Amino acid sequence: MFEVLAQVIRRLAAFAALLTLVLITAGGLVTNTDSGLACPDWPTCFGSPIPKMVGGVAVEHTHRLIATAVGLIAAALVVLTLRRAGQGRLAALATLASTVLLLSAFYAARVKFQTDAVPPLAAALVFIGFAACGLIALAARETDGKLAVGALGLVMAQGLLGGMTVIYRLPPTVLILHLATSMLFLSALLVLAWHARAREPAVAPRRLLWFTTAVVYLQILLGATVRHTGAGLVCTDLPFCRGALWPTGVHPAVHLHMTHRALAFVVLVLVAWTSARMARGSTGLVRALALAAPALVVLQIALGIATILTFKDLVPVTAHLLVGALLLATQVSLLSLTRAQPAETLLPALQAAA
Amino acid sequence: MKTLKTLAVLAALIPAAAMAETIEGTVEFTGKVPTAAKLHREADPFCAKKTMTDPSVESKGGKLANVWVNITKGAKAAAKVPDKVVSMDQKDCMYDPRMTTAVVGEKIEAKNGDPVLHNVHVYAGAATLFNKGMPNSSAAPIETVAKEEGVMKWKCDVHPWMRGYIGVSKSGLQDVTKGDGDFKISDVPPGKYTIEAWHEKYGTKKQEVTVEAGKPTKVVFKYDGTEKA
Repeated sequence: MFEVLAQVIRRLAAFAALLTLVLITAGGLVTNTDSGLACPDWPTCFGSPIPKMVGGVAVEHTHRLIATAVGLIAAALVVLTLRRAGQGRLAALATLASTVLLLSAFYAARVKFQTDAVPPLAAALVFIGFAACGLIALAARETDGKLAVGALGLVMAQGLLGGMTVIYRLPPTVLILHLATSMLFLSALLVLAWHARAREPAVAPRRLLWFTTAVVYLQILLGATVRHTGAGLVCTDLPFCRGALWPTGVHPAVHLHMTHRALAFVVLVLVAWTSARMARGSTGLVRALALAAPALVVLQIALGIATILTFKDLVPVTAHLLVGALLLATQVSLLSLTRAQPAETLLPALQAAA
Repeated sequence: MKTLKTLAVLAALIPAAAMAETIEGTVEFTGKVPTAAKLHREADPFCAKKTMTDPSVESKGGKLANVWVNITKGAKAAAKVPDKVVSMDQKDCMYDPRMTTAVVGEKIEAKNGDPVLHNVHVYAGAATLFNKGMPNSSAAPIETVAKEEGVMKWKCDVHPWMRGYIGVSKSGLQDVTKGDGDFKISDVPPGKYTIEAWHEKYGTKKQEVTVEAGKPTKVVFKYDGTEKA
């Protein structure tokens, strides 16, 4: 029974990760079609949970509906993982805390929309809800439960940040945090999905893999900053910028853009190096992911170039976001699949590598 | 015989022309006018030469400018598409005009008056109509045609503060409020209509109006600044 439940959790987490990739792409479409403010209120749209789905409203509200589905799956994962660990009461508490948190946030958003003031009690309940989630994660006995509660906290934070982008009329900092949280949520789901899976024998340079993954995440944050501060087209010539390899005496936005370009090559080198080391000592899924990662970086660089050459046309700029998320997913999956394992299972891999 | 025919046509046209009325009105702004924020144009050295503020809300003396007022229901399509070309220029890293109108089928021309690259990214709702670069002032104008009713949103992704809007209607019964908040829609046959006001920040307001022969029709729209587009 427990094994069946573990498999259900793993598959549900994998499905949620896949749906999160769709959600991230839909979020990209919201930004890239300029639909972020098509619905003036949140979480409803023109006061309705199901508005007339036309134009920008359809784009924005579809993003919200996918997010709702992802959030419900995250809540289901919390219940399943905690019940599996025999912590049914904790699961009920998590459900209660998240319900209070979300209802308070919805109420606060409604009041803010109508009166331009945030009700302090509702805001306090939101913070208490997050604190409760943190305590529940600490109280969970098994790693699966901790991961699921953490993922639920992240997706709720993600939803609230999405609401704040609407209520505060697209402030760049909130938009960047919205993307940053989405990538962490995707990572948490992947770790949960791979957690119960049998480890594959592999020789993994763990520190290098961690470092590469962190740099990939940093590059994604940098990309979000470029996107949401309007620095995406401050340099429209390639491979140079305003005729120089790295222009001087220019606005910080130009340096931001150039840093994103330069870091792309650092990511390429790091990912290629990590993958080369991993592919030698591994088989199966780990080897496939290790080989796919550098190809994704090359594709990502090509999409970055296409983004500039097409003046941020919808397809390349949205694909640039999706491939960035896929690259992070690959790195996180490699980390999960090659985490510490018993020495005897490593022996065949070490022999193969030798 | 030819003279008789001409007279007959004129006789038929005169009553129709005489019956065409005018809808005049004002768009009032009763709320607190938001302080126009400084536009951050520093990233481009050319644009940075001139300091400008956000022109999205232009209001003086309780009147709101750049509101597109048009008849949305009850009006027939324009008998003839105007010959004039609607112009949307890019000057000093701003779209000029901010808000204008076109009739379905009317030609639109975009020009770049600046020595720097602008990309002309035009949307209808969430859909991109076209996205083309204009490297500098010597770039050939981009020509297009107003195809559907609604608002065409013009953006430049190189300079994200640049925005322009063209309100497109089938009937051509439309106007844009100037600095005094007034509008005037001419050649409106008597009848019942729905008239809409649209502002880029404050969205749409609707009214039902009845235009009667020989009587002037007055319409007042009111925004209080709490509306969201």
